[in-house]
Amino acid sequence: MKPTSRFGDPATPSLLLFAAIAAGGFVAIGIGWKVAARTLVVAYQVPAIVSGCIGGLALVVIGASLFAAQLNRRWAAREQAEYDALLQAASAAVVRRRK
Amino acid sequence: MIRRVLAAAGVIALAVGVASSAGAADDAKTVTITPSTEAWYQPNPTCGLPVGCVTPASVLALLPVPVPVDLPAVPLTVPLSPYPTGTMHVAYTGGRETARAYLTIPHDKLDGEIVSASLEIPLDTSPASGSAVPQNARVQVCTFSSDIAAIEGSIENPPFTLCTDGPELKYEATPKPRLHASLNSIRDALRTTSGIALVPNADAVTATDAWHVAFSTHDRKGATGPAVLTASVRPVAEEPAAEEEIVDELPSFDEFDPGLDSGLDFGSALVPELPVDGDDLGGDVAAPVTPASTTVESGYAYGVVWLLPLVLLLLVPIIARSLTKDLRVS
Repeated sequence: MKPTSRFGDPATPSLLLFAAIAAGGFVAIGIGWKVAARTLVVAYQVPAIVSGCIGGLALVVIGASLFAAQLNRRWAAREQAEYDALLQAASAAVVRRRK
Repeated sequence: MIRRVLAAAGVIALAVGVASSAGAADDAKTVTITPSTEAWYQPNPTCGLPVGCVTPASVLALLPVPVPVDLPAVPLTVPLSPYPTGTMHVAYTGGRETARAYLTIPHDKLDGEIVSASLEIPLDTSPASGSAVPQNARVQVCTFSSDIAAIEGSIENPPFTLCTDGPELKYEATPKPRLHASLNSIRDALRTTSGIALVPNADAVTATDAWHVAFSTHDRKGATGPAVLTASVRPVAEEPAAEEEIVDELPSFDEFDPGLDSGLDFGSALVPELPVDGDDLGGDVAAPVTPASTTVESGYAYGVVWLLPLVLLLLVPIIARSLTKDLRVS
């Protein structure tokens, strides 16, 4: 079965999604930084740091991890496809020989 | 002929008026005044406790035994300033005022009619002094009529201020960061009040404002200069002494007969009998009244964040599908 994708590469949409998750994490860190810097009251700074900065850092780590995993799966799939093509060529050569 | 005389008289009167006003303007002299005493106050940090606000005076009142009179004088106001000594502060953070400053203005140089006045405050913009975004400061000049002691970071109740017509200080970055304002709207009050108070402008600040301005006291060495009040003062002409003939017309005291022997009974003097000792007071002295703590409701700054769990819920199956999808390219 040949997987089809609008982008040509079936891994591209998922890689974009995981990159967007990591980018969203950076945006959350920036928002948390801005909110914490806007006030001098610690009670207002703590939620901004926890939700924005720590939460954003978590998103960055998760997004980067998923991106790396998907990238490895993509390379493994290409390698597998090359092996499959090589096996098919070898099998075709053996069949021709027998004939 | 009459018209010519009237015209000439008008011209002469106008000339005399101009000459007198010019002469009066020349009489005004410019004086610069630095505060003689500075103090800054901050909210009592213990007011959020369930027991209410705690002050040194209230702690002393709760002692089971009275403080011996022969102990050295202990100041009832404990300074709690986390900033360098010799700095004054005005700050607004998180929807509430966190610092205000009081400057006592000596009146020895304000002897006369104040024609104009202005205030300039060089700012200490060092973060170590507590300064934070002073360019966003909204500081208003008010007046107060109490005696203050030189103290930094007092948590006692600050003196009452009158902010009617009080101008707002404007921030100027060049040549050096400073706050500047014209005090013409309150120039008359400068002579009749103890000094000026610098407080956050309640009509201009918003709940999200956060700023802190710091400046030096008059006796702080090696730093930015203190606040300076510049005034143009015109000496008041002395009134002529009252004529003695008027005084002589008043009857002398010896001639006054109050009529004490007329039989009127004014009653006994209304002098209350003071108790000799404390037992007559009828009980223990009431503890000082502490204001109840206030609760401020603050909503969510970003309500859309509540949708994040739903977004994550949708992302989980998408991510799972992506991680199990066949990625081989034909």
